[in-house]
Amino acid sequence: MCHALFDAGRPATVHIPSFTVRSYVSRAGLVGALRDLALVTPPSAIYADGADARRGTNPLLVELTRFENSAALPAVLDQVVDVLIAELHYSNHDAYDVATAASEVAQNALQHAGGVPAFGAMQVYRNGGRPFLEFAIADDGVGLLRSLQRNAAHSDLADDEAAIKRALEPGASGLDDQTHGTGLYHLGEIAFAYGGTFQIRTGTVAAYYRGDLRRGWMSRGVPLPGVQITLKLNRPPVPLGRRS
Amino acid sequence: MTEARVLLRKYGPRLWTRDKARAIRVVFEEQLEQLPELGTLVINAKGVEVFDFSFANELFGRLVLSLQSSTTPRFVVVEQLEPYARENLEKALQILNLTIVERRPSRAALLGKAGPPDEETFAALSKAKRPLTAVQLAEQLGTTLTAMNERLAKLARLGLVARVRAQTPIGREPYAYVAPA
Repeated sequence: MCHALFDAGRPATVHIPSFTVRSYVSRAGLVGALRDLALVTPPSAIYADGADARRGTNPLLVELTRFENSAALPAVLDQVVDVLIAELHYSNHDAYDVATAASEVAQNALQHAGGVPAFGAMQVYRNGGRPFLEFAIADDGVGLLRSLQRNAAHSDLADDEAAIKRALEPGASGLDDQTHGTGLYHLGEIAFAYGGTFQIRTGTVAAYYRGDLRRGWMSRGVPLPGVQITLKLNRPPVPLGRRS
Repeated sequence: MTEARVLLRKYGPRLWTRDKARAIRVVFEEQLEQLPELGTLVINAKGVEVFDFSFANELFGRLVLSLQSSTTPRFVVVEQLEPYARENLEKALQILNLTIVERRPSRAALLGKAGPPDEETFAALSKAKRPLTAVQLAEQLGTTLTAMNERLAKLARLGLVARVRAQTPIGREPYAYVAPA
């Protein structure tokens, strides 16, 4: 939109009053990308700590990142572990659990995307209530149904709802390979361990799973391309001796 | 029995993704294939703090599956697993219905999908450090020969023990079983 308005000779003004949002979109590269196209307000000078500071009221673990394939994942997951341990006082075990869950979600998305890049981000929320961490990844690939149907064992799947249910079963994969198809099962176990939730959206269906109840719900909505997976994990208790 | 040891830490303290495991597996499989019959590839995991499930599936799961389909009996053993890596490996193997031999300080044991009869039989065979027949194991563990034959056939099918020609008079007990120590 900013490009279109700029080309029309009417540069846009993008107002971002929230420090947190400004910080987020700045680190994701949006503010930089708009620099010559639009006026971003309020001016960055009012952000005394600098909008690109990693330390803040809402530490961001992973900026919105484009993943062409899984090659970039290890560095991002190492970053997640380091920030969780150093900044948020997670135990090594809990930080590894989070990174493992994120890794499985991301690899799952990349596999279902079928060669199409995916976009992921992770953030910790700790303003009021119990702090939690959210990781999301989305792609605009072929979607879960067509991805699973690549495997003849799943050619019977008729719709998005059936595809999501099948994908949650251990061993269900678009590949005919015994060592694939366990990522979402393990994700459910980690969600259970942390009283977390995850949501899978593909086609016209969204599935919402509550780990603490080991129970899921499905709903229908507007059709979306590809697959979106969002994982939300409650922050575990801070280990004794590390409380600030 | 011949052993070759590979150090997993060489590839990093945190091992993420199936793609990373695939590259390592190719190297390990080459080492495994160079071993003679009944040779053991020992994967030393000391210093590897974490690997994810996809990594475990691709490296350990596929190595175990390759043992099951190989015509030359060889073993894969993992040792010095760090606590979290061990936790993820055990969960990964359980959901894949696979089992690997873990060399612990005191003894070798099964890690993954294994029931008490499997563990008991494997422990007896591994502790013996020599081939034992089904009759010898059945007597030692107080089970029927039929039950012991079933246990041993399962362990052999999973690549956890190997069947070898027994050193007994011809016509009796032509086969014995051996496990990595």
